[in-house]
Amino acid sequence: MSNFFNKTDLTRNDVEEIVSDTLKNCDDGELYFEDSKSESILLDDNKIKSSNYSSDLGFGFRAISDEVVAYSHSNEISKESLKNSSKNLKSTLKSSKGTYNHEIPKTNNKFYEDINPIEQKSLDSKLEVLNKVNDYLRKKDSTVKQVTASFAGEQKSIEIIRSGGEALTDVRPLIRFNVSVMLEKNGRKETGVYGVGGRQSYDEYLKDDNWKNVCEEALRIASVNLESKPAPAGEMKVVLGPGWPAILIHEAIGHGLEGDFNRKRTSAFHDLMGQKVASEGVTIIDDGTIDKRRGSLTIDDEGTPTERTVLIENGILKNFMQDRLNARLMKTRSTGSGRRENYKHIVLPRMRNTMMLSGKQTQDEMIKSVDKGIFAVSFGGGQVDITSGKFVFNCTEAYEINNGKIGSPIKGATLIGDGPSILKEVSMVGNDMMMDPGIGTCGKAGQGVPVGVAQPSILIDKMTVGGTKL
Amino acid sequence: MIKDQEYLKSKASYCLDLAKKLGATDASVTIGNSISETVNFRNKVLDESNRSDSLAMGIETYIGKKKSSISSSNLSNENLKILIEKCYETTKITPEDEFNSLPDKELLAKNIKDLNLYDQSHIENDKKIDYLKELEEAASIDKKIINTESSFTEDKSNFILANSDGFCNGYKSSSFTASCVAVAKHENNMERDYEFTSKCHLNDIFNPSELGKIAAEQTIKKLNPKKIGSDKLSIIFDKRISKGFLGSFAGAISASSIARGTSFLKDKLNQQIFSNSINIIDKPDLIRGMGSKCFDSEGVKTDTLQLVGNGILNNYLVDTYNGKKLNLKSNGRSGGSTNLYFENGNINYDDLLKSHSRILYVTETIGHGTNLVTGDYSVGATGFLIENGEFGTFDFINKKAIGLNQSHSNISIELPSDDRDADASYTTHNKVVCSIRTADCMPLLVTDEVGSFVAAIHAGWRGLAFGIIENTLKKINAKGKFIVWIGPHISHEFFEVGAEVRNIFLENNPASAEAFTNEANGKYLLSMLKAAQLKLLSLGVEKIYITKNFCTYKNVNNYYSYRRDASIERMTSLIWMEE
Repeated sequence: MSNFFNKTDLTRNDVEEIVSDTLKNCDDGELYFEDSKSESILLDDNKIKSSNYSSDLGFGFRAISDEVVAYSHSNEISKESLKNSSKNLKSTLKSSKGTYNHEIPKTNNKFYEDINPIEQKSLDSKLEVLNKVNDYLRKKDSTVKQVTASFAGEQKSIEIIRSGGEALTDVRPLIRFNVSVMLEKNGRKETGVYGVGGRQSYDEYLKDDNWKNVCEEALRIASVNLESKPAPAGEMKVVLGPGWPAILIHEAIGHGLEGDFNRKRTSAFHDLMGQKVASEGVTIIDDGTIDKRRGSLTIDDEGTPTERTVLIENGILKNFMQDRLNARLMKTRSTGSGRRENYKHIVLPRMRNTMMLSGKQTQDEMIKSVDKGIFAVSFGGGQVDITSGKFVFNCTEAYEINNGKIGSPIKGATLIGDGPSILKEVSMVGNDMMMDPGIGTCGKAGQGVPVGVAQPSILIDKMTVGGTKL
Repeated sequence: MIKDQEYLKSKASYCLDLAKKLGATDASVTIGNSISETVNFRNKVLDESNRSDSLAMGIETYIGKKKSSISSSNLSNENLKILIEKCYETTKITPEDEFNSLPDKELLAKNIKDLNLYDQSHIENDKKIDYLKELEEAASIDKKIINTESSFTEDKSNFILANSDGFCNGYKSSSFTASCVAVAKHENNMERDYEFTSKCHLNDIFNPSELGKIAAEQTIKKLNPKKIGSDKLSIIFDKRISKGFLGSFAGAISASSIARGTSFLKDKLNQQIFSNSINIIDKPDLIRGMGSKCFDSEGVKTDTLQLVGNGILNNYLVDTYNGKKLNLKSNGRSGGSTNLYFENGNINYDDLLKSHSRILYVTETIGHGTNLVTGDYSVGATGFLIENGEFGTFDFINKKAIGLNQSHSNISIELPSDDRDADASYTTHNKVVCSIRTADCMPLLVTDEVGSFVAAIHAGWRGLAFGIIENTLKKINAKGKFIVWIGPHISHEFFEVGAEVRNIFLENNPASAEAFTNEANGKYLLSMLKAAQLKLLSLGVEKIYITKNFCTYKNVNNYYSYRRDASIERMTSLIWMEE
């Protein structure tokens, strides 16, 4: 565990005093220290294109009074810097008359190990795998024209000091391995991208067979796309495959169920608590407690232990995702969903691993039941307007369905839906729930946080497909 | 206070000296400091305030053709020493890449122009709050707006870029950004939109009430959208978002994408890629330009580039490394474009709207569906349907609303017809919707007791004087007695006209003198209602219905009024026959 002030002019006592003094008339707040080390190694165009290492250290000081959040952050950890921040916060909240809530739950759980993935494996071993990936793919298929592969690793240590001296800490590893392939055939170019990751060491991906699986998948997707035809346009039935297509849930309802948008009444869901927002048989949770997953956290970024939060149960809206601020204002409890990208940002309610649970049906049944529609297996990203409820996401691998059979692959088209109503169009829920491979990043208010998604295959009766074939 | 050039230069020298001592053959370092203060408002009260002061350094070390880099925010000499040593060690085991090198010395920037990118003005948080209060007041006037959020950020930064070839330059810049997001609600539909302003100098930013007003207007316009069927249409991208294409275009012509073969514009240099009316320029030396740069991220000088001329691709965006792969010299675009824009074309806005009879006018796109490898483009879109140059015509299922090219004439036409040059229309078809637009002028909707026809009349003073009403009614073969509804228009109280208007009325119909009252200043107040009633009675029309509280000028919250606001918005009055 880092000691954030052992090389500075601050003692722990100094820090505790400044924090308590600054927050004494506030409703909440904390001093957040963060030390993060990250590396990224990229192979591209037949060579190691870059290897970059960075280290970042700083603090974020937050004071909250009623609905107002005052925030000050800096790279410089010193008595003067901390005092300047304190002054800045006090002047913003000068007429504050709150009562600090000292309560915060504790936990002994740990969902990942205290490791530094960067130091655990030598740079040489990572370079070796990247070169192997390049050779393997270029030899496999003559249509391979470009190969990009990368490793990204990080270790983040945090310490949260609350008024009264309570200190909460966490050490978080995070890694990613990505492969992207571009094929060219008869003048046509298409790409396939696949990646894996999680809160663990690189060992998983440096072992012989594991990196090959990632390569094969990227190649397979690119090959399918080389044969793709223009996608149909209009409203139709859509079967979504398990795993990563769950970004549908993330965009359709995930953001709409974050506590701040509902407290502010700007989300299309703000007045739908307790109501039917999805078909019966649809249960969706947001879980931070799954071992080693990218979207998991032992404690959130304001110190609350995470949990498995049920968002929608058998179609009924049960809970929003809350951080301490919005929980207090909505008179409920934090669900351990308070996250920030790093010390430069305030805390906001965010998702962790957002998952639809398995139902009873099979993917086969779903495909057979569709006369005319599409089957979408892989996606790029998505986006949502939480006020109107409209969301989109882009297919990167999809097929036509004709008369209950999977037909030719179709070009990536945008799928468009409406959050509060799309889940009511789910008419079949599969028994094959799968997690995404561990590469998701969610953006909100300029902050990116690592997240996960999961779902079984599902059949949606009606969705708008933005194809070009009328 | 922002760190000055002396501090940054000394850190840069320290890093370069250390790298050299360790054995690096070349090195390039950037040291920067930025201070940012933000105040956020929500529903007219303070929501959040945020201050940040951050330092950053990044260094690339070369050993011959081997290169690696590190970055950090901890600029203590002790930490820098540890990191640079680590970087050097990493460089030793990184494989060689024949294209790795510092930029050509002759291409490095020599004369650093002052582009006036730094405004030393400082706006205290109190004053930021005043600005946001005024902004949100203006945004919340219309009762349909149920939520406003706004933000004001002041940014100041300074940096130094130095390399082992002796380049050592940097400069300060500032930016002041204010934005407002509004949420509007009507029945069960909520929509949000925004407006923002971002400039290098504080005095150049938009006036807060103007900003708030636009954010609210944009939002209200989006309410109660309808879905249209799948269709092939011409599309206009509103200028607020059309620049999004430039971002994608810049990505597709980056030397990196071209060299790797992953751009759909590969091999298109000197070829026609746009229509010949398109010119795209990247201009780095705009005074106070938000994208202005004196040199690129490697220190290479930046000159204005015509990226596309008459639709032909003239240049890529080239950096040293990728330039070498393509056998091209760097053109000072390591790090991307600067101030990138489409030059103005030749068509004026109104003509553009009329260029096709049906156009999708896109004001916002959502989604990341731009594939720079294939050139495929697929996004969600919000916007308006323009028909015959007019926004927001309704498109009923199985019925077609037909708007006219109104010009205050006295011409009426029978529908259906291809002709649109009229100020009144009538029809006996029940699949046709007669529609007219007004914002002070009088709308009249006409039918008869048995519903054998419908008619819509746009009557401004000119139309009334020159006989639009009789020119319409006299052409109709009504099967029953006429029924006329007179809609919202500007009332006598607020409708001042000159003597020449009264003269025109009297020439055409002496009895219309009754509709005018004298004013002290020699002008007259005209009651269009009276004039219309007189005309209708003379035509034998007895059943006349008048809207209560019909004055468009007086009812600020319910009606658009051209005379009151000079607004471009209009109200539509429609009439049709059900099956």
